Amino acid sequence: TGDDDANKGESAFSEEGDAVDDQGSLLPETARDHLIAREFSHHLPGMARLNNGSYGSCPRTVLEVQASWSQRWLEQPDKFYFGPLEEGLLVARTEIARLIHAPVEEVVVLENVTAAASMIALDVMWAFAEGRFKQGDSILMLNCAYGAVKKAFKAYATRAGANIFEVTVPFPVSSSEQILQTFEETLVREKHNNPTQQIRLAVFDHIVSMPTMILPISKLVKLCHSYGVEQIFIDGAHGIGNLNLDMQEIGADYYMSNVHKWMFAPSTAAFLHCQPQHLSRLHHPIVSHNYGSGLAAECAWMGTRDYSAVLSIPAAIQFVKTFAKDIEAYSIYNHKQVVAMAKMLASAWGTHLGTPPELCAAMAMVGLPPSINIHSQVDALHMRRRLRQEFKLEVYVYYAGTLNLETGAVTVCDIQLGSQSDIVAYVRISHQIYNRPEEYHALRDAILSIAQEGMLLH
Amino acid sequence: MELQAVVAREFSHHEPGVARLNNGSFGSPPQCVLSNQTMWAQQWLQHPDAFCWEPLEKGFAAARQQLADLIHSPNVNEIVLLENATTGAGVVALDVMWSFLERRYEKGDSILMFNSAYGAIKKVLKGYCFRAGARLFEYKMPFPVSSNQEILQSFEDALRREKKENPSKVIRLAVIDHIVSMPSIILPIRELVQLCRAYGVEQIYVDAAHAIGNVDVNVQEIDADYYVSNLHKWLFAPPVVAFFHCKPQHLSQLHHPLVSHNYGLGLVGESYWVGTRDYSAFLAVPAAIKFVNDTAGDIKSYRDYNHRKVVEMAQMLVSAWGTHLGAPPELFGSMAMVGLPASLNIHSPEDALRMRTRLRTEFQVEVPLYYPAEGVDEIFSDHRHSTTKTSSVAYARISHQIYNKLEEYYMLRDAVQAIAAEST
Repeated sequence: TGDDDANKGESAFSEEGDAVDDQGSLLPETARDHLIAREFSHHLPGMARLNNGSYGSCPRTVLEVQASWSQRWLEQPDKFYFGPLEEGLLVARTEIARLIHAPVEEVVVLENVTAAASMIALDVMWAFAEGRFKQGDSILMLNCAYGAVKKAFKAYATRAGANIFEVTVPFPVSSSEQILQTFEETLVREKHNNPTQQIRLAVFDHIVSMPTMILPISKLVKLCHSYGVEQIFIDGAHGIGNLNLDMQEIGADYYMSNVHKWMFAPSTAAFLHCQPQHLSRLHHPIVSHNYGSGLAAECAWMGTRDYSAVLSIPAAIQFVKTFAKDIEAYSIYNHKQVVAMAKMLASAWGTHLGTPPELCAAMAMVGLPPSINIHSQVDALHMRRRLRQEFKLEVYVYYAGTLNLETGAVTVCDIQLGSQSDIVAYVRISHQIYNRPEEYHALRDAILSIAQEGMLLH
Repeated sequence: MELQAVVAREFSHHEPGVARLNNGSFGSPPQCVLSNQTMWAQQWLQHPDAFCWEPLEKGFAAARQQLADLIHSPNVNEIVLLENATTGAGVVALDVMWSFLERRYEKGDSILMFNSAYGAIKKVLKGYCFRAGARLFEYKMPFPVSSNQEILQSFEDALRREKKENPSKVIRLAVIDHIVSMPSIILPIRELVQLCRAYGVEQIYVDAAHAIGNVDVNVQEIDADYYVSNLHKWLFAPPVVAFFHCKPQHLSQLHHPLVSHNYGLGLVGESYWVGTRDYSAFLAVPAAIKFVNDTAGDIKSYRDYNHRKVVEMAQMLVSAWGTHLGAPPELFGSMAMVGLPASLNIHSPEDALRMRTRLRTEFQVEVPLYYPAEGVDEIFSDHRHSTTKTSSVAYARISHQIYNKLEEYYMLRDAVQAIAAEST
C-alpha cells in the first residue's frame, strides 16, 4: 500500500503475480507445513478445500480453547454465568476493538452476521412503524447483496414500508472507478426519479461474496453522504482477516464481520461495530433478560446458549501470530497466493479473472471455459456437486448470466472484453493457509477434462 | 447400584464438591450425549459444504420425528427445532407485532400474562408486542398455593373481572407457563387453556421451558396454539436446543426472528438455517432421548424417579428448618419450592441473590433462591429494585436430577442452618 488515495483503506494490494513469500513475515515453509498438518487435521482427507470463504476453518489450537470454555460451562454453569461469561465476552470485544481501531463500547460480539443484519433491518422497521421514516423512504442495496441480507431487509424493511432500490454492480469489472461510477449513476437516477423520498440507509458489502470483489467503501461512504444518504451499513462478512479495518477511516454507521471466516474463530462468531449514537436504539432480534440494558449486554445473553465460539475470539486472533508476523502479513500471503493460482487457472483454461487482482482479497473469480456448458444456476450447482463427488474438489461455481424474465435473453455484463461474453460461469477460489498449489492444479485438470467432454459433444 | 455407575461415568464433568441443586436453570448433558454431539461437530469441521445439505436436514428430521412421537404431536410438520425457548417466544411475539403494525389488531388489544412469567419472556413481549401497541392484562398467580383448584378459581375470577371491566378489549394472546420457573409449580395447563378459550382468548402460547422430562407432555390434549420446551433442561440434550410445537394453521405466517436464505419457506424451512451456526446440539437430540430410555426404561419412569426424590428431599428440608413447602407435592415435578427460615433475613430479590452467592462461594451449594418481586414493574422498568420491605417468605428452588445425591441436600440443609444460627 502507498499513500495513494485510490488504494488507502480500499485495497491493501497492488497487482501481484508471483507466489513468493515475504521473507521473515511468515513461518518458513517446512515449519508452516507442520503447523498446518497439525492444526487442520480435522479436514476430510483427499478433499481439496478451495472454499474457505463460505464457512472458514478453525485450527485445532483454537478448537481446544473452545473446548475448555465449554468445559467450564458444563462443570458449573451457574458459577460461569455470574461473572466469567461477561468477563470473557468483554475480552473478546476488546481484542476486536483493538484490531479495528474503535472504542470497545462501540463493538459487540454475536453469533453471526445473519443476526446483525436482522438487527439493523429491525431497527429500520421500527423507524417506519413509529413514523421516524415515512412510507416509501428508500434503502439502497446491491443487486449482488448476500441473499440472506436481502431477505432480512425484505422481511423487516420492505414489509414496514421501505422502498428498496438496487445498484447493479458490474461483473466482470475492470476497476474501482467503474464501480464508483455505477454507484453514482444509480444515486443520480434515484434522486431524479424520487426527489421527495429520503434515502435512509445504504447497505453494501466490503468484500462482495458473489461475485467476489473488494468495493471501495471509504469512497462509497463519502459518495453516499454527498447524495444525502443518512446511514450506511457495511456487510463486511469477509472483512476481518482479509483487509485492514479502521472504523474511523471507513466512516460507516454499522460494520459487521464474521470472525470464523478468515480469522480462525470456531463456528460461529461475529462482531458488529456501531457508531455510538445508535447503540441505545439497536436490539438483538432475540430478546432476553438484558433487553434495554444496552446492545453489548443484550448480545451477551440471548438466553441459554453455547457462547464458547465467541469466547474463543481472542485465541483465534492470537493464532495468527503462530505462523505470521501479524495479520497484515497473513492476509497479504493469502492474497498473493490466490492471485497466483487464479492467473494459473485462467491461463490454463484460456479464460480471464472476473476482476483485476487488486480487487481480490483472498478469493478470486476465475472464468470457466465455455465448453463447460453451464447455462443456469442449476447447472452451476450440478457442476459443483460433480466436482465434489467425482473430483474431490470443493469450490463455489457461479453462473454470471442474468435472465431477463420478459425476453428470455441471458446477458452477462462484460465491459472488459467488449462484446465477447461466452464466458458465463466462474469459479470462486479461496486461498487459506492450509491450501496447496496441488489442489488448484487438480481443479485445473478437472475442469480441462470436463471441458474436453463438452467439446467432444459439440 | 447401577445408577451410581452410570452417573459417575456420565456426569464426570461436574465440578467436584459442589452440591448442584439447580438442574432447572441450565440442565446437564451426559458424556455419551456430548460424545454424540462431538461426532456431529466433527462432520461439520471435516467438510462443512457437504454437511450443510442432506446430512443436516436428515439429522433435523430425525430429531423432529422422535420429538413428535414423544409429545403426541399428530404431525412432524408441526414441530420446529429452535435454539431455546426464548427464541420460541420471539417467533410468536414477532407475529403479534406485525398484527398490530398491519392493523389486524387494534391498539389496546390485550395480552394476558402471569406476574410469574419468566423475566425474559416478559422482555420479549415488551420488545415486540407492547412496543407495537398491545395492552398488558396481568394475572397475579397465588403463591404459596394449596391446590390446582385455587389457581383455576383465581384465574377464572380474573378473566371474569376483565370481561366485566374491559368488555371491548380483545385478548389476542395468553402466555402461560406449563411449569412456572420461579416460583416453580406445575400449572393445570389443560384447564387453563380451556378457560382461556371459554372467555374468548384468541391464541394461547404455553411457555413449557421445563416441561419435557419433567411432566407428561401431550400437545393434543393441552390444545394450545403454541407449545415450546427446552430440551437441554430435563431431556439431557447438550446446550442448547428447544422444540416449538404449533397448530398447523399458524405455520405459514410465522417467521424466525433471524432472517436467512430460507425466509418465506415456512417456519420449518426457516429454522433449518439461521445462518452459519453450530447445529450439533440439535442433531444430538436422538442421542439424548436414547439416554433416557437406556437409563430409565422410558421417560415416565425417569420423571417419576426425579419427582419422588425431590419431594423426599423437600420434606426432609422443611422438617429440618421448621418451614413449609410452597405448594403441595403434586404441584411439583422435578423441582420443589422449600420455605427458608425467617432468620435468614431475606426481604428482597436482591437479598435472595446475595444469599445465593454466599451459598455458592462459602458452602459450595448451587441453588436459586426466590423472593417475590413486583410483577407489573418488570415489564416497564428494567432495573426495578424493591424498596419496600415486605414480610414474604423466601424459598429455595431445589431440583433433583439423576446425578444428585442425598449428601448434597444435607449440605444445603446444614448451610442454611449455619447461616440461620448467625442471627441468634
